Amino acid sequence: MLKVINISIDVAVDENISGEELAGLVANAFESHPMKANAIGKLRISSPVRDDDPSELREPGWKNSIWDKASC
Amino acid sequence: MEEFNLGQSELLNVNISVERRLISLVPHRVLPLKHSLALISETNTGWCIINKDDYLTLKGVFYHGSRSNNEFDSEALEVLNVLRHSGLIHEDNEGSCKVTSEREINLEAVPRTLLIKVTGSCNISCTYCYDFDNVRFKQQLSPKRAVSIVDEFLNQTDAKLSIIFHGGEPLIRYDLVVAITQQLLTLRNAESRLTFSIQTNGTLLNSTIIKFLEEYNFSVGISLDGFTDNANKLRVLRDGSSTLDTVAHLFERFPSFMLTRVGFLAVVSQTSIGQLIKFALWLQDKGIRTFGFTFMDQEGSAKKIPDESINIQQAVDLIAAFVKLIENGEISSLNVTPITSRIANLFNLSPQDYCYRGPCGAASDFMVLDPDGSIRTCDCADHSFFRAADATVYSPNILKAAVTPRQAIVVRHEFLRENGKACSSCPIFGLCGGTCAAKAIISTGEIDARECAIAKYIYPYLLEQYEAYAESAKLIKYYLSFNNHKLN
Repeated sequence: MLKVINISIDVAVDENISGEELAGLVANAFESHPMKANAIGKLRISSPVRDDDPSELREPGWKNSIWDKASC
Repeated sequence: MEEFNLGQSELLNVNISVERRLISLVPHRVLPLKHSLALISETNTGWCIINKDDYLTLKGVFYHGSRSNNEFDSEALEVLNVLRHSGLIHEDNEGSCKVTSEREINLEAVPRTLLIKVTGSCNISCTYCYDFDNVRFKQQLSPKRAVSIVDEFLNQTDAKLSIIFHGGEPLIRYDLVVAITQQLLTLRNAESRLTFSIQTNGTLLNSTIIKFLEEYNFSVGISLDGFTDNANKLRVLRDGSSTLDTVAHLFERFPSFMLTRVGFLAVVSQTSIGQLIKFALWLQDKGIRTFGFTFMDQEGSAKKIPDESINIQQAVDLIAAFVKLIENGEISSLNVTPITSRIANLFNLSPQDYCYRGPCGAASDFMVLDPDGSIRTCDCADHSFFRAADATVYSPNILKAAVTPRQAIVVRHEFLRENGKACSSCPIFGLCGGTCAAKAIISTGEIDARECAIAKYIYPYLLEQYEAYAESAKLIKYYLSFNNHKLN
């Protein structure tokens, strides 16, 4: 099911703007909306707790390598 | 890193650093489920289930790529953390360090498992033996060679190393198994770092050998294809006796040993497939805890009996039949590893089973020491793709020699992900990894079609089960009964 959201964005454009350019401008305007990033907080995600942490995606041999910093 | 100077006085100068992280959604694929979507990373086995609207919001937020962590409030960061632990978020701390989304492979890493083939000889001439080779068949491993390689590995890492004695039939050279085990245990910290197992046909097990295996805490795998002589007719003993009689004798004479240390491994062929499920139930009734099976590949002696290979549909049907037996409770105490190893991929970002992942164990975790002293990265196919070093390569150059074949595994995985005909757009690529490289070589394809079909059956089914029942899904409960995972 599609949810219809009305968003008002003011974008000053040249009347000859291409569809692609307009899409880019709209996307940029939407991107800068202050509440947008925090919409993530409302997401419902289902996923098991895993045994390993993402930091373990590095093989043991990476310890002591230049990538392995104590701060990680 | 942004620095904020909070204030200065003659007495106090406090600098608090706030780490700025760049957060992005990893490349992922979408598998539609009955009511929602499974988001599956394409660079690891991470995934989550999310409804379609929420997915559009997530995509919208990361429409232009990465975002800074300070753009998000605490509630949003909490959700992002769930996604990070689901392998779907990549973080980059602006060059100071990074949390990767892809399993990084150290091509010079010490393997976690070394399979030691003490001899190429065997007292059974199985008509489907994948490992038979006229030259290797005659060779016997030098203990000195085995010890020097393990010594190199132990000196380069503090990690544990699993030693698997293999063959041929390793117990033909029980003397070598004893000598190598005892010499390995004289190495630095070996007692706490080495674990031992052996894969055998079981025919040579006796009280002396069993006492040794118990003393050195071996896990034992016995190869057997069924509980009838007919199911085992491809396993031909040279003296005409039955492998089955041997196993029956072992259950009778050494019940404690059999129930505490032994798992069984079957080869699935046209001869054995008909009774395989009954065999699993028979093992469960006996009290055995672990049962694995592998599909016969046309490698080694098996090249001569192509008609014994099972087809794709038979393979999928067999896996589906085991799934049903688990779901209806007929199989409960027996760990059927081809099922649980695949379920485990849903619970680990770095899958534990070397074969059901990409890049597979041959890229870093697994190594084979052949009877002639040479090194391979996998023993499932005798092919140059896996050859690392001949017997003239000595410490400390073994790991360096393995870089080329290990790299080949990584390159294959990346190729499949980006350009593979079946894999580049397959939603479950992250969970499957592109099938076993050895099986693909044997079947002369980019991927192994049989393994591909099984993955396409089982992973969507598992995700649908999780969508519907989460931790209550019967397959997941069965898996958890053998593992200590916790669920949300």
